[in-house]
Amino acid sequence: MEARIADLIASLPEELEEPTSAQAELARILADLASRPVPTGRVHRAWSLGTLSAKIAAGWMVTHVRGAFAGEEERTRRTNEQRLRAALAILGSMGYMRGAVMKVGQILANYPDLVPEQLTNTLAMLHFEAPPMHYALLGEHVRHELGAEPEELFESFEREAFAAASLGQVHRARTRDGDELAVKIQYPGIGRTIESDFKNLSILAAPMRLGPDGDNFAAQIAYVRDMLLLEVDYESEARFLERAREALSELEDVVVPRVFRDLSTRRILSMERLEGLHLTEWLATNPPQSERDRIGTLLNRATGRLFFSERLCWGDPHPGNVMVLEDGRLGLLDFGSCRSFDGHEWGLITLGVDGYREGGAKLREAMSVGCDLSAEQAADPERMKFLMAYAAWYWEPMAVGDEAFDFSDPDYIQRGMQLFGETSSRRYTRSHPVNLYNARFLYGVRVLCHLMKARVHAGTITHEELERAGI
Amino acid sequence: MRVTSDTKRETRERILAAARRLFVARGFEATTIRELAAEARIAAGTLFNYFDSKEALAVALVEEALDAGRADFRAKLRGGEELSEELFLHVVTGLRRLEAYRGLVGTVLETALSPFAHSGISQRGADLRLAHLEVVEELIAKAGATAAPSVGPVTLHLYWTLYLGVMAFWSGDESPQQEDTLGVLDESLRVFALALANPAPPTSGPATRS
Ligand SMILES: Nc1ncnc2c1ncn2[C@@H]1O[C@H](COP(=O)(O)OP(=O)(O)O)[C@@H](O)[C@H]1O
Repeated sequence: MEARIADLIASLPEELEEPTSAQAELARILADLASRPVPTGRVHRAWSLGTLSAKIAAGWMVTHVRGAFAGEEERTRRTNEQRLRAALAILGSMGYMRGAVMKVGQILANYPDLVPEQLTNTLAMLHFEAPPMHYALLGEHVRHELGAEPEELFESFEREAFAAASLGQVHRARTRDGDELAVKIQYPGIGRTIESDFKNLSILAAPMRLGPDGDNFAAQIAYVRDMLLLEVDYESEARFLERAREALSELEDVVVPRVFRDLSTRRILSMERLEGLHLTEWLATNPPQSERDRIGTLLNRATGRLFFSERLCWGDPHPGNVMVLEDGRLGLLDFGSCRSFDGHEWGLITLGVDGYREGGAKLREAMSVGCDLSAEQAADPERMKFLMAYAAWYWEPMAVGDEAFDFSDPDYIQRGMQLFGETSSRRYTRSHPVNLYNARFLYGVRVLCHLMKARVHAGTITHEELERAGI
Repeated sequence: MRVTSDTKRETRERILAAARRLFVARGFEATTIRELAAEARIAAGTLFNYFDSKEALAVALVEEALDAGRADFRAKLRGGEELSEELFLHVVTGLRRLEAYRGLVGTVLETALSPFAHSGISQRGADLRLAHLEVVEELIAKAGATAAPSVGPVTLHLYWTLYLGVMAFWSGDESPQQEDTLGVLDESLRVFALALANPAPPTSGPATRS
């Protein structure tokens, strides 16, 4: 599917009344892009789309930051804009290597609250646009990384990739011992490029003081950066895979691929290959309600187990990362953007659980601590009312007790999206990363259950998993 | 003493072997002609009968490595690759053979391969260029290059410029295992293949119409 440049531009956030210099700069870049013919070559197209999504990411940032400037001193505002311009320049230059910027686009695309739907759709398409590495490049890269070429390392290795990854591609291979593998290989150099670009970006963003709720923007950039830095390091993904595999070993019907360490590096990840259908493909076969309930239940069980017992947030719940295997088991992929909660973050989560159990004042306290509110903010009834509504939505599937919650209800998902969006547009929360991860994770899993129209005993599962984790 | 062509070849080979060892062990700059001659067990004067400078020796080593790389390339080619992949393989097999000499590629670029090279050394450079471009031409012809009516001197010059640029980049590439070179080479060759496939439309000459 081809993204039309005009569509992308049309879906940029609306102009703000008073154009800033950074916006003027953005407008200039976009006008320049729009005036160029849409390139048709595969390579060329991917390259310029990469650049374009950089501009869109930048546009999003401009709008986001601009909104937060309201009421700022003129001088602070100018300083901020200078920084923003520099940040824009970096983002603009990031298109020179595929992948990196698409990834930013994807992450933004996961925030339906921050960007209009059309933009979300278009950005969501972008990650399928990555041009392939041919075998000569790949072989040389593998030799540099692992000391030998694929044909020497593996019993067999397919020259054509069978799937695209955001930073590279995935190949089928077989080990000398006969294990069937999926080998994910990063485009050479892209990891370091992303690391240095984002280091620069967050250095620029860090001192920006934005609006009454302070560091919201820097926190978001830091969040995007952390996600990306995790994703470029396949060794970190390998560690998460191993932790998750171990933590879910008791769940017979759930599989997390085994990692082959000897055949993996920071840039290459060799895993057990799962054979089956991706969630969307599986749904296209019209599975009966009982099967959809079963898979939805397994998904809640597995992610709940990881969350409460392993303090691990499965970062990217997305139909492409869920598989229904030939033997009916649930396969979980992509542990690149996992988050392991630290002690402080875990404290916030257990406080939230206490709030849910006790309700009332305890829940209000949990929300205000969790959202890092000042005393004054916590006293704002509008804000509190809103946050309580959010909490109610969050716990709703668990609140039905022993009954199954029907995720097919579109109203539930829509309310979630609305609340999710308003939290950020009203700047009601200071975005501690834990909230971002948590929200993205939970919202993502629920959207998956909604896609499956699954009925799940979410309350029972949550209570059992809480108990198991001793919370 | 009569010097047979066999002894001559053998001496030349000894000098090259000495250069391979010393350039790699000590670096090109730090190695002197005297040391090279000693290592090859000949007089310094004799060495000059074979190579007129240290640079000429470096060029000979690079040429040798590239010839070996070309043989590797032929052996590795499976057929059915796209042009940009074949071009990539051609360059990368050469780089692989050159790995030990990365430190002296800069010198070769500046001397033999420079457009301003002096005649003696530039002859070797011209040979090296010719041998490389012959393969490129062959690959392009094989790929059909239907859209490019003829592989003219401009096409090959464009290619050569990219190639030298990649070599220069590689000789100074500080990234781990020179991974950045792989990216730069890939992008350069894709751009080149793309330019071949989509030649610029002919510009209308001046004053063709009123
Ligand atoms: N272990 C595996 N078994 C089968 N397919 C896999 C496996 N790992 C990855 N894939 C395929 O590759 C695609 C991309 O992998 P993923 O890990 O999601 O990449 P990314 O780095 O973009 O997150 C998946 O959607 C899936 O189709």
